[in-house]
Amino acid sequence: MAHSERHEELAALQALSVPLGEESEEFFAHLRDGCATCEQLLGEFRDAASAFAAQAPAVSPRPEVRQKLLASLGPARASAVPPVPSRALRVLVGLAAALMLLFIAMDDLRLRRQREELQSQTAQLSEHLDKARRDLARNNLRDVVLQSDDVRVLFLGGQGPQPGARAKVFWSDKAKRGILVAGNLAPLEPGKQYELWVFAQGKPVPAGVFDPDTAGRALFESPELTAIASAENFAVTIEPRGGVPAPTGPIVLVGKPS
Amino acid sequence: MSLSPGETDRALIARVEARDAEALAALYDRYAARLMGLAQRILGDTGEAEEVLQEVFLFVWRAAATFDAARGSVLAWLLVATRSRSIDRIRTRRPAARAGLTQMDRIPDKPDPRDLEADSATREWETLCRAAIAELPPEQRLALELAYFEGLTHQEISRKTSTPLGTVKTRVRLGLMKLKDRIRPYLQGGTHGS
Repeated sequence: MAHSERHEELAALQALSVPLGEESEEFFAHLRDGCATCEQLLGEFRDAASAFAAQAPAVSPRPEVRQKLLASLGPARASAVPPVPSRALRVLVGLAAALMLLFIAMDDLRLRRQREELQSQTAQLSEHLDKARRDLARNNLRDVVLQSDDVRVLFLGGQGPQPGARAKVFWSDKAKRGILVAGNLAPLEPGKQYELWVFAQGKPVPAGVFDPDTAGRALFESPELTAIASAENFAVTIEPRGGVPAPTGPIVLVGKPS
Repeated sequence: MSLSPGETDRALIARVEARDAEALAALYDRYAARLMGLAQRILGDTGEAEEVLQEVFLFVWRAAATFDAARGSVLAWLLVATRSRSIDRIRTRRPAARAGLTQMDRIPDKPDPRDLEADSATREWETLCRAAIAELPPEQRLALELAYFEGLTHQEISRKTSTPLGTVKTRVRLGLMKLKDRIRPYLQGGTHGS
């Protein structure tokens, strides 16, 4: 997807570690697509955000904190410069140095592997976290609709090519969102998708496209449709994949508010 | 030519990666007060702030290899680690105890006398940051402070300030753009941490 100001907004929020919710997937997909501008902005925004730390007055921790920290580190490699060896010991020192170089090389290899493992684990954890955030955001959206005091249940019956199709829509005018639960939907040819329409003031407003599962069932949550004051009716049509701004295909489900 | 403080930070991280405890102690001496101040500012509790400080340096000890200079300076990395641990703690306290909320009105505009203990490069950086933040339009500054110090999401900032969500996002973006334009040349100059 082409770079836009919206991606810069998401980069700014990400730099502040603000959970991006449903937009997280889009933003990280954009980064994975190789947007150098966003990659650079993310680093610059992180540095910029750290400026706020300067607003907090410096506070010296108690000396015990430092002592406790250093005591808890475990084995460490000393960095002090060794004394110059006597002539008699130089050969031994040379051998020791060679062994040390070998040790450092092996240790470096081990650290590189450790770093790669850590990076891999970090990436996996990040994916898990993003998924958890998306699930939470999705559940929150369902709650917004299902717990609204004006939620209505509307039944949609099969039409035209699919008379056996059935669906319910849970709709809230306050939340301006709906949840469609459908069954008996026929599989569609590649390049086609079902599209949900909300009728307001007699006109159909696109509410998103969806695909049923292999059993013909679908659970679809509409985005917030801010332009709709009150939904009058709902319909589902078969449209080109990705959806269209106005219905063009056959109606397979239609209903009336109860 | 001597190393700049920024290069020294990265050199210290490289030594920590090689299990050099003296390097970690040097990093601690350089930044502990700054990180402690940030943790205490967010948490409002000295004991918890000291715990966070210890966690951060143990994290540096164990995961110095994960530092990526391309993603920001060492100081920024340490600040992010400190802030994220502090924010995690206040998020677990929500909604009852939000120490940071009570402190929004007493952000000092001038350096605390204890800041004078910091090295000159850090002081210069802090002075620049304070000046850059002071130049931000108040609404951008507020949005960024609510996100940075209180860990509020853009939705929460929108509700708290009665501002449309899109406007909050724009303010956060524009605010960080201005800050980066002021701060980045300094970091790129190698005077501090990049």
